[in-house]
Amino acid sequence: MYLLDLAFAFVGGICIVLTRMVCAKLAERYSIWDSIFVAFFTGSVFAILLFLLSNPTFALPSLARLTPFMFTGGMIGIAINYLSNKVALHISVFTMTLLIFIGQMVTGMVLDWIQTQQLQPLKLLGACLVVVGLYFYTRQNKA
Amino acid sequence: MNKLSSVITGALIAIMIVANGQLAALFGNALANVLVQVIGLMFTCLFFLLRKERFVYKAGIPLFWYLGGIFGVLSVYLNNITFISLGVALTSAVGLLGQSLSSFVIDLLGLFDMPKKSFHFTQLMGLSIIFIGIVLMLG
Repeated sequence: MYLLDLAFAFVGGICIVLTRMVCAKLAERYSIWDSIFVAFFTGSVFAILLFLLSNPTFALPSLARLTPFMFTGGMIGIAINYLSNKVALHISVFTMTLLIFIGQMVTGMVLDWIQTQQLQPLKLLGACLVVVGLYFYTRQNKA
Repeated sequence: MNKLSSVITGALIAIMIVANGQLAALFGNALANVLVQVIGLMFTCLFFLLRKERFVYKAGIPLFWYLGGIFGVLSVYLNNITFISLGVALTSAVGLLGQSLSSFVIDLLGLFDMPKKSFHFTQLMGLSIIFIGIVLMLG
């Protein structure tokens, strides 16, 4: 199961690249906001189809367990789309990928620490190596 | 400012993984994905309304370029599954390996109308270091 989860995370990364590529291509012909609108429109249709095809029976959770934060994913997605489209025009892919990853990794570790109250040095070292590896991987594109 | 925006984008991605993961834990992955997409669509429509703009269809664009949302849904779907067992940091790190390798293949083959780029040793070295980093993160 653990290996399957790793495979899912890996494929999730591929999907992120495909989303960025396709949305950026569309934004070239329309505008950034048009591209974001189309992404959420096709995304909504596809998500509803997936929901109907999976198992449309569900129990409404108790209101006490609901928090406003849970519903912010869509809005955060808009901000991510907008920022990455804006920034992509002004800095190199190298710098952008590296900085996004550093922001994601540091925040991810803080959030993991908040949830587990444990800071794992090996995880931190691994994250640093990922950043170094990313530097070498994208250095060629910068040149 | 652009560099700060990139770091903020990364931080937002990590926060979004947590928000979507918590929603999926309550509603199930499929319905959570519907909620994420529909809420995003509603706010985009609100933006169009406030600016008195509207989407005008342009002919001659390949259908595939309109399907970015589908891959977005799949990435949210998969992240929601892995967030619970792997945590945010490891999900991000393994996802990055997927991003790097797929970018590499796109560049190498010139997919999506991108110019072909040749393969360099430093890229292989970089991917190897990323892989070692992820193995360390797995503990």
